[in-house]
Amino acid sequence: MATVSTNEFRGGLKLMIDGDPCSIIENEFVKPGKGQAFNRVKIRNLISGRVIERTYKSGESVETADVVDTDMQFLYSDEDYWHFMVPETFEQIAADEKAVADSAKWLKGQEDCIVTLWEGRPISVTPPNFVELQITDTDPGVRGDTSGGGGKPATLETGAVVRVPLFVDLGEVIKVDTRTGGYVSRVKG
Amino acid sequence: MRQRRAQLYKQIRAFFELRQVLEVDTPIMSVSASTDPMLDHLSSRNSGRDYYLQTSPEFAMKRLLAAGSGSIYQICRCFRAGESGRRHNPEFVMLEWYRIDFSVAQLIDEVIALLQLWFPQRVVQFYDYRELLLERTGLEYEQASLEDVRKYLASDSGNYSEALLHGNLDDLYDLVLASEIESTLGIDVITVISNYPASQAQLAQLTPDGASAQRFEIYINGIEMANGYEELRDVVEQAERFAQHNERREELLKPAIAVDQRLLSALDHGIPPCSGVALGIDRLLMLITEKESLDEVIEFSIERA
Repeated sequence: MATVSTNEFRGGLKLMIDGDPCSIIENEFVKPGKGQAFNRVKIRNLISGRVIERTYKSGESVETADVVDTDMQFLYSDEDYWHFMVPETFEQIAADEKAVADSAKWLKGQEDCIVTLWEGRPISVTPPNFVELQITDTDPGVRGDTSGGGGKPATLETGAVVRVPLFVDLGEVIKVDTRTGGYVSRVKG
Repeated sequence: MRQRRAQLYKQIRAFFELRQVLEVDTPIMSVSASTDPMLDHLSSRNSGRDYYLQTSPEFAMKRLLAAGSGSIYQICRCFRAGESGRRHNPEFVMLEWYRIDFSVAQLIDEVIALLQLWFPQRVVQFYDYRELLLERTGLEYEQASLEDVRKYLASDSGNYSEALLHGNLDDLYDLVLASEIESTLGIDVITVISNYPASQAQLAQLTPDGASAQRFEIYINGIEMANGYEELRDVVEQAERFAQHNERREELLKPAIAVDQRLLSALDHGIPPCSGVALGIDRLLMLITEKESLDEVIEFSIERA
């Protein structure tokens, strides 16, 4: 079991907490004038996504989590799994619905994703920051209305629903920021 | 910021000149050091001999008091190994002063007079340690058992690690104060906590009934600014506390610290009744300039030193 001392705590370090892999968001060292020093850390549970706080005695050892971020290409999905591949080695891995979670709505195939593996098993998938997807359903475009005011919902080919400006039309390809879920621009075809 | 620091030093020196307290300068390196079990020392070497870098100028200044210096103050560098963070730097500036014939109450008044140079609008809020503890946590210092305090801390959604909850009773009370209460102290006011339990006396004189220590701490914006005592003058008691500290260090697997025989000789010779206090200057500058971290007020923090 690999461990790490609180002296080496920093943002992004992966720890095992209550049986789940977690990532340090923020680490604060506190030494009261009299009394023992401690580290107060904010941590994200990589399975549930929840953020919790933990306080450790400075210098104590905490178990590290074997978590690695791997660049992988999304291939396809079947009923139960989303399949990814490491482009260099052609190694394939299947992620379940829990791991892919909300990222699924941005994936149609070929996207370069980051798959987070815990002891070799995928626990989360981060899609590219920007994806380009075709609109499969929306109200007819209002030609000439480039005011940017208002907007309407549009369903994309992956099923994701995004708010788009009124001038955007059915069948058009748009660029979306996956971190915010927001429309960025039209992509000229 | 550079100007603010220079101005701050000037204000402090003017404050003490007016009160006829003498500025002194003692060595940073010494063959002995504080035995405080919770402090780790940095050291240096000269001619084949190891010297500790001071964690505070307390012992050297007490030797001056024994030599008849009268009331003294010092602005100096102190060093504490491993203390790095938003409000910590292993090397920092301390203001420490000693007032002959001052009670703790008189010294508290003086610290507040100094702080009100920069925080004139703030009123002072006084707390008795035990009252504060009871008010904020429901724990009664004399009644609560180790198990009660542990339970109180554990109720905070599993926040504390096992190793932290394994401390002795005073370790846990320190944790309650530092982790659960401290951040709420000194908000829009200057908070003074006094009348600490005897077990947390450090180097303070006890009250006549022996139950409490003549010790105080001052908080501003949730940050501990100053820690002061009516100074212990009994050489036997002092030697005993050194021994206790070194025993505790051994339990914590920390190296024992060479006991300061020169301080003990000075106490044996006798120091006049006095009270002393230490105040973190970098933190003070951080508060005055409304900054969030020490590296904004230190020229080069440890990462860039």
